[in-house]
Amino acid sequence: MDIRFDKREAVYIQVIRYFKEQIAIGELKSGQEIPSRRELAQRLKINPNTVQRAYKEMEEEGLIYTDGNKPSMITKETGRIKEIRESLIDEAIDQFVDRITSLQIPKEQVFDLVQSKLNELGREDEEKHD
Amino acid sequence: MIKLTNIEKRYGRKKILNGVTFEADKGQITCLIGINGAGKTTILQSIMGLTPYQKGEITIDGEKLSPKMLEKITYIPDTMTLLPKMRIKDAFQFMDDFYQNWNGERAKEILEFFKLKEDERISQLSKGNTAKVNLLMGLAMEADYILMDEPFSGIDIFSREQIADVFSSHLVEDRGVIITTHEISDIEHLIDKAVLLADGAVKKEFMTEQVREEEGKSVIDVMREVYQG
Amino acid sequence: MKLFGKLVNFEFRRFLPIYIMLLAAVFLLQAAGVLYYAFMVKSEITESVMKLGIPKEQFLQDNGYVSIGNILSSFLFTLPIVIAAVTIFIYVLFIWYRDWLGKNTFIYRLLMLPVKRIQLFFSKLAAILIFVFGLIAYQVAVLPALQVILKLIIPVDYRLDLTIQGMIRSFYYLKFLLPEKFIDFVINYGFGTAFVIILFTMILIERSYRFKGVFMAVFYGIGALILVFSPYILQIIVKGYFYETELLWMQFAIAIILSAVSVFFSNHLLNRKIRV
Repeated sequence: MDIRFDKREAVYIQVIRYFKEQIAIGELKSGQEIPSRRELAQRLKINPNTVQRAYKEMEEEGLIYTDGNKPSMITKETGRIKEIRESLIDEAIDQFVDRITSLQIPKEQVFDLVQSKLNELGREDEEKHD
Repeated sequence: MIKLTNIEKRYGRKKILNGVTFEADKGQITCLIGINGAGKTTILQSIMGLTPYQKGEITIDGEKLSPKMLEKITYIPDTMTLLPKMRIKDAFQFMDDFYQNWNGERAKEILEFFKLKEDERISQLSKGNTAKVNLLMGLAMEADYILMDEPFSGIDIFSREQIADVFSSHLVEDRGVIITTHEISDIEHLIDKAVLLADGAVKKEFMTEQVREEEGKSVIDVMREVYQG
Repeated sequence: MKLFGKLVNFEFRRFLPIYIMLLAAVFLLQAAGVLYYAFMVKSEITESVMKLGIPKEQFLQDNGYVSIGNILSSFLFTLPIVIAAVTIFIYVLFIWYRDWLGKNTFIYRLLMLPVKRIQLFFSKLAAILIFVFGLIAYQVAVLPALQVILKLIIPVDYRLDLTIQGMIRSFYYLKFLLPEKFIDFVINYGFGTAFVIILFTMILIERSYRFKGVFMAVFYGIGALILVFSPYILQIIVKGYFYETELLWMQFAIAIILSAVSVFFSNHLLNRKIRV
């Protein structure tokens, strides 16, 4: 677990985003236990109160749930997980589209560029796997 | 809650504290930030009754400092305050003799965490280990409040990391911590509240997560505004 | 109260190494004095009685009986007492200053102990008194042992052995330190304790106000001195109206009042003015 924190953004929001990303890519699985507030604070070297706040928000958003005194777990609602995934994709696309439209590049060129970039990344990945 | 209201302190003709007012809550880490000479150490010493002040009031959970309060609040100065010829275990014994709230088991646990030996003599400790022993003496007290004066100053990077780890650990959990520093970057994400000091007065007091969330500023951004703007 | 005992014990142990050296010095110097005296007298006896054939009775008439009482006022007996007195006096000052001086400032710890700060004052005072009484008790205990040395060297016919009371009475310093009358004992140690209390207060004035405090402390000390001797000034004014004992009691009363005032003042300084 490693987050590079942006010093100008609330730490708890960055922690939540990190969890969402991990859930979206399946690194954190549905029903999986998550570290205690203290453990996570210690691992990320951040304030336990901040972790507490992040967990509280995540609980309210239905990302995690806590059963009595047991450790908190990632939600088992697959619908919620799908939502998270979609909202992350949405966010990324929004950001991308935002930037690209401000550069006023024609649609066709954008598609081509994205295509070739993705192909390039794919090749790199394959090379790495070799 | 530790509450300082309008603390004024003169030494001769020089004003050291010029109406200092701030609060430090239990369960939070409050950081006093300021260059040397801003009055950080004097503030901590005033809270502990180690130096006189002329005006203002300091309360701890609504009460003034008293002998029984010294079981509840503990101070970790940035100088060694144990006798040089003591071994660490003698220092433990001393604390155990005088404080009901001394937790010997926790002391041993922290000793292990810092990789120190209880047979080591105080006079033989390196600078980094001196800072660790100082910290240990405070953390092993079951105190509600811990005041730490520059726990990171003048020690090596590995000791700094170890000490920083303490702040996110159970050792300070649910306690009220006041820490002073002139170098915030080590602990920017560890503190709840920052109190910016200059010339013996509080220039700004803020919750770090709040300015990050609401204003998109880092602690250092705020410091830049206050000290240079 | 339990913590006070621990504080006294702590203060006692801090001075113990030097104190033990002091006690050893007292014994060694005095034993050296006895040995020197014993061998000197023994050689005189050998010279006169054995070699020159002077009768024993004649020798005793000329030289008197050999007794420890003869050397109790000698240099080697009084020197260690003076050394011990001076050391303890210096320690009266050092018992406070050692907590501030040096790289490790122990005064932080002491002031942060969960005890009333005036207990630090009393614990240091108690430690000093224990050192003084301990030294006197030790001296009294050592005297018979020294007499044993004499017994081993000088034949019984030439010797006049003293009881402990006898030795105390012929030892000038001990006569003063262990007076026969209880009331004298109270007065002597009353003045001594008052002296230490006032010195402690002067130290705390200096520690509270630092540079300015030096002058205030000197002023306080001189003031106290004048007050203690004020009955004699009064005596001059009233042209010898009072008896000597009346003057002494007046001084004693003033010393007690000064001590009480000093303790209150010290309490105030420790709680409100002291700085690390």
